[in-house]
Amino acid sequence: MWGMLAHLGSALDLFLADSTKTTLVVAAIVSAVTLIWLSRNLDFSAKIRSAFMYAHVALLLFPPVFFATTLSCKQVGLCEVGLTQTLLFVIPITLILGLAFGLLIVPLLHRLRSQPESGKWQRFVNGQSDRLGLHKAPDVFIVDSGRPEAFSTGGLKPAMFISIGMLEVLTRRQIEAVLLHELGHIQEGSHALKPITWLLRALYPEPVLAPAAIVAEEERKADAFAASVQKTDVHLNRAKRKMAE
Amino acid sequence: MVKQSDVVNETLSPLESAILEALWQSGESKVRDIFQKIKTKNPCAQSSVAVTLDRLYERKLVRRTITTGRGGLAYIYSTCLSKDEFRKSLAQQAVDRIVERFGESAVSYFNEKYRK
Repeated sequence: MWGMLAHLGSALDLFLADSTKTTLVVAAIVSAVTLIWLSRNLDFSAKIRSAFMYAHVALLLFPPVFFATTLSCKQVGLCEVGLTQTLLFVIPITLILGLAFGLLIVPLLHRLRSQPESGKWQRFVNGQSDRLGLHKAPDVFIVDSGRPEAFSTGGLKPAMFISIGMLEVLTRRQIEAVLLHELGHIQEGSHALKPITWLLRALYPEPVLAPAAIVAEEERKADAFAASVQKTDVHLNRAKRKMAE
Repeated sequence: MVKQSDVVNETLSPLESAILEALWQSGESKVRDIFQKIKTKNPCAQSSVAVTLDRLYERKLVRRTITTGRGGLAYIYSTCLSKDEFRKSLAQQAVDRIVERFGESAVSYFNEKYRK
């Protein structure tokens, strides 16, 4: 055990002795801290803040993945592999792990920053979920923000987030339309799609798949779901216009 | 009470000014009330008022409390400073900037110009 730790310690010393590697690790940590500062101090929408959270997780994962890759390279006798080749392996792995961890952590962070809603909007979502035969109704959370916005997260415990700003500017029917749109996303299980499209865009600058078209199609399905329940798309369209103004 | 240092670091947009004016006139108000008050002179959407108020809150120019009414949750906004305090803080910032830039010359100019 101690021998293993000593071995790891000396490998870490060797890793940090390389100024290029140390610079890359420090740059990743500084970028992660900068992202936190930006999302706390500047005015961004919830979607941008979510993207920052995923990027933050990936940046924090970069140093251990980089170190582990360098270490394993040494173990299998491929020490001669250059830095560029190592990074070509490390960056995709970090992004994939960032996505996987992000899908677990980001919904949790959103829950921690919001208040559960147990009133009429939760009852509305419970009723609609029952009607659809969903295994469990998503939890509704209130986001303390004056900016009108709504989003949902998937996973084992799906949740919907609506801001106080949204409740202030939309009518009851429009709020229901937005909640149904988010319920449509949860029913389709399309939450992982956006981060996956970000990942695809990062890995393949000219992707074979068109991520924007996939996301647009999911949005269209969620809109169609809300319109089919309300038997009109007037409320959803008005809500979208108001929230985009 | 808001610290002097937290107060405005830049000039206000026309919508921000209109919102603050409305709040100084009416006192505590909801987004809808402010929107009704300013919409004729400042044509804009209610959501723009909500977003602008959120920005003013982040800049510590307005404070807000959450209220539960017939229409559900809403914010009640009020200004952090009176109109007079706000003007004073803007003037103070402007003077500080001039003194910082021109040093002694600015101080002696103010002494000569405004000596009673």
